[in-house]
Amino acid sequence: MSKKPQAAEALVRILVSAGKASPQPPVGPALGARGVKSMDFCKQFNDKTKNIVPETPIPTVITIKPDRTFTFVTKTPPTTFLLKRAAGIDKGAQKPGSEIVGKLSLKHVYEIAKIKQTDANLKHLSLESICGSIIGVAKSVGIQIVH
Amino acid sequence: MYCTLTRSLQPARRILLTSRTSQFHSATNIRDANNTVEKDTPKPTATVARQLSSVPKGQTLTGINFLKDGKDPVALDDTEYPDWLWDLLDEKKQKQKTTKPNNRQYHRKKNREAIKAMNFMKDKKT
Repeated sequence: MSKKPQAAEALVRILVSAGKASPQPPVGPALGARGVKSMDFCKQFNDKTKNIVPETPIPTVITIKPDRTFTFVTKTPPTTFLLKRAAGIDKGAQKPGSEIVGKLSLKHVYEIAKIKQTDANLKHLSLESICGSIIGVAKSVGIQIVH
Repeated sequence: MYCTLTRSLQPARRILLTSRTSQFHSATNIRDANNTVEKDTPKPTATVARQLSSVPKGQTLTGINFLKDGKDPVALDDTEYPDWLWDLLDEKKQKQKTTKPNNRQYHRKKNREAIKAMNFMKDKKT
């Protein structure tokens, strides 16, 4: 009556630019190594992100089953990306804490938190706690949050 | 200082009074009404000394929208945001949260202290 345990599903986490998935690296080798046709993923991904401004990094988690079929979940862009864009900067501070490269208001933080709450992982959290973590991320990037 | 403030406020008040109290008072009573109203009208309740936001109402918060068919959100009036938002930058208030039992950090702190106490007692025995 013993069954062989099912081969583990592989999880692949990638950061892909919206609308720009292509078989080339970084997407290609990561998927190809697990036997998934990267072209299929690219088509599906680009289809799903066609409403998003191109070049927005979208973290995705691809679940690859043992029979080489896959499903994937897209999430909201990284908080650092949203913060940097709202502050109008390209790169974060070289020495966060001692350097300040941008300034944002609590109202920006609130709006970003509203976006983040649409994420499946964060739905159960209160807006207050999400705002708190965003302020923490801003600190690590060198963005000052003011009233 | 206070006198000049009330003096500058009075004209506005007087206008409001005449429109509202004209039903009840004759024109000659306006001055009386004015004097008494300073006692009657409730003083503005002491609102929490809140630093006004640097972002005024109506300003678009650029760079937040990332959808093609979406627009950048527009800042609302300060009062339309939840109260806790303005306390987020206040370190004292954030630390105070950890003293209440409905907070995860409160329980973690308690557990860590209990573990340290246990380890201390265990060490003493050896």
